[in-house]
Amino acid sequence: MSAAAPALETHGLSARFGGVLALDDVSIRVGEGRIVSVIGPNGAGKSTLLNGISRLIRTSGTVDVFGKEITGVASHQLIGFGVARSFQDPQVIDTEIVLENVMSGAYGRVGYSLADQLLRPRKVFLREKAECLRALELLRMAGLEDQALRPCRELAYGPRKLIDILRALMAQPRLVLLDEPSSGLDSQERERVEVLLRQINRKFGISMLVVEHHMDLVRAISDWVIALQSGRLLMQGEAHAVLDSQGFRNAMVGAAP
Amino acid sequence: MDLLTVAVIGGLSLGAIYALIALGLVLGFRATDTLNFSHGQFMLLAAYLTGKFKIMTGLPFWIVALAALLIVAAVGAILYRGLLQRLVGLPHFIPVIATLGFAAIADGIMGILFGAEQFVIELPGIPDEHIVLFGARFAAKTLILTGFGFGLALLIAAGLHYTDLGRRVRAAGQDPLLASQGGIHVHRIYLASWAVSAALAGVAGIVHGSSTVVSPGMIELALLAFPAMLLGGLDSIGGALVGGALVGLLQGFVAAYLGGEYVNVVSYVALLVIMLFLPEGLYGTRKVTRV
Repeated sequence: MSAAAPALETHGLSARFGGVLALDDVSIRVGEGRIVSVIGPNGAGKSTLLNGISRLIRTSGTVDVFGKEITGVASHQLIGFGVARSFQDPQVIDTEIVLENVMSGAYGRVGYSLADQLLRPRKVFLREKAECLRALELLRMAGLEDQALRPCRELAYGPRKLIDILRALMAQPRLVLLDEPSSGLDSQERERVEVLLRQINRKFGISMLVVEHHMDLVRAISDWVIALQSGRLLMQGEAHAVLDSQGFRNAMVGAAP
Repeated sequence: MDLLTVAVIGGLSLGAIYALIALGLVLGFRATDTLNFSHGQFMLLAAYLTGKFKIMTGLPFWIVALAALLIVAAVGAILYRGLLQRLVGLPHFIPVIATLGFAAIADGIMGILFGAEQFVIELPGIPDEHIVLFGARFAAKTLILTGFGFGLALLIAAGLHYTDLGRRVRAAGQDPLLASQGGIHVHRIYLASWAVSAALAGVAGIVHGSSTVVSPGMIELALLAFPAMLLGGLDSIGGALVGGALVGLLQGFVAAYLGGEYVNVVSYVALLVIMLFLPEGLYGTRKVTRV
């Protein structure tokens, strides 16, 4: 579509779980190449927003990515629109090694037929090698290259979280949705996430929508910040404008008497 | 020596059937984590339909067998779409009980449709001869069908490993959420898995029916394949082949050296021993929820 189309735009997104309106008429926008963070207290609807955009739950309202409406699209088709995501609870295949887990993100991009495998093993080998090198490069950026050959079941929560993010990046998406990338990480790992996301954003121009609780990280990476409260858009603006505002503080800790 | 040969060849001929049955069970299990207690009914249905169509139409065996397998595959797909897909996320025993209920319904319907009829399935182009191997005589048919059974099971296992559809089936079985985010239509893959699972049961039913007669006794064979599936590891494709061959051989040796009446006792004792001491089987990869 046109170059001016934003990476992501939602209009009046609402989601209801039984009697609870988890997301209420939320309209947001992520400009191409931008990092936008979504913040808010627990139960504000941050993960619901992400699940709604990635079509894992039903919503009313519309979602557009790069100028194309994806409201009626099934979740598994999203990768075809250049959208990948990570999960709050990292999705990692325990029986496989770290490298394989990261490489699995390339599935939608790299395919070869049975005929290729039988008749053109060199082509398959070269393609796998290229993806392997790409995965190793990502692992290096995340400081995990020395873990590449370890089975994932041996890893602690922090590295698993990073692997889930790398797997999403391996798909070479144009827009990546990250659900609390730094939750459960120690300060060193959090710094790594910060550097990784900035590098990825700058190097590949990937647009990002990041749900995040850790305000230092939000401050460090965000071009724009969206605050949600009780499923509604509370405010949005540049990081300091939102984070330092009285309105946001009141929402997080309750208004002073 | 000839007793040993009888045990090995007889065991492997059973093992080929078990491998086909267990492979079908594994496919269904990988898709929805459901142990299918109606697998035997799929075997019987395919054999019944093949026998009935042959008498009704007089068409060549390959055509009637293909038609029977397509129908059985469709019934497998309906079982998934109509029942199991709706039970995803519920405790594991619920879909398992659902397959038991489905088995009872299928038994009833097949009883109404086919009554007490017995069919004999004649395979064309197979020599009606006997071959002497290491001092024991075997029907050529037994040897050919054994080769066919293992050949088909190997082909399916290779297909699951090397084709793109196979990769999708394995990915969707391993982690449905990740597979869907990778661009895989998980429900469609599960539907295909259940259809292929039912068709594999059908092939086993037709193969077995051609060496005996087609009767409801065949259903028990599917239950006897459970030890094979468990031994291989509930979710392991290669394990189904190895487990099938090993359980077939065990039964071959028991039948040859102890007598046929011991086969069931030893098989189910083996099942219990496997569950006690090797609950994840030889090649099972993930924690298995026992039902």
